[in-house]
Amino acid sequence: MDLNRRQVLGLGLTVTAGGFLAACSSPDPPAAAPTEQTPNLLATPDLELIALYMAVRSAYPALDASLQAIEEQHRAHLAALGGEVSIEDIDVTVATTSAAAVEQCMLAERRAADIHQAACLRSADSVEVRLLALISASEASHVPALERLL
Amino acid sequence: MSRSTALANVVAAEDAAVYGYGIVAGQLSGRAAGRARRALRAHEQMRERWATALAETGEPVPAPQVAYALPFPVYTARAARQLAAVIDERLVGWYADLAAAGTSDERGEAVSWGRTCATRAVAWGASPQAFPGENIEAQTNDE
Repeated sequence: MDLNRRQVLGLGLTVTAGGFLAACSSPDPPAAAPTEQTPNLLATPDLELIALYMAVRSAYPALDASLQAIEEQHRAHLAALGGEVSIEDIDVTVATTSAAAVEQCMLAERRAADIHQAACLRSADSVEVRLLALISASEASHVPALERLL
Repeated sequence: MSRSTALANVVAAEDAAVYGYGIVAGQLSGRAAGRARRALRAHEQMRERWATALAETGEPVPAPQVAYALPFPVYTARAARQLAAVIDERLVGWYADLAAAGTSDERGEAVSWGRTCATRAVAWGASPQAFPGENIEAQTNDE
């Protein structure tokens, strides 16, 4: 992995509360200064997923080992995007069965992949484009991995 | 990386993918063989799509090699699945390069196809990666 190419993306932001659902429902937000709005849009989906996986792992210990590796990958995404893990303000409601919780994770992964793909298509920074392409691919690939748990 | 270099790399990688999937399909049977043949056709189409784009730039299009060295022996269905996973995961990095260097239309296609390749690699049994295709050599050497 070419860390140097990613480290330059360290934007120094701290992402807190969710904008994930808002980002999902509005993939093309009103134009604003890219340096101000892009960081939250880029890092928030991974932050939301980290919170979700932590909650699901806690609710369903049998899934813990399987989901931990995926959660770690989202932490890697977040680090590459310059975000910091700060999930205290994120409310997560976990589904009432383990299968439904896995499906909840699959849906969230698809949304995150779509958000990062859309951000990739909008970006004017070729290094950022490459990183977002890889992150989107990673998140999409989590879906078949999660399907194995059903 | 220039656009033409990114295109040439993708064309060469898709050539290798077509060769590799031919071997994969030959080792599989039933539904798995069908999946492999569909992937083979998709890679053939992508190879032609990017070769055409590269030719339009005036740069030479890499010619397919007669044969490609495989990362490990492929004499079983299990090895064939592993090879399919390696092929598709490796392509994700090349498509990320093309996304960064290509035109806006090419970027959209490259990102979508990279997602498809990463997803298919995991569907063949690969473990998902935080940055698919970025450390594939190390993973292959570990097997």
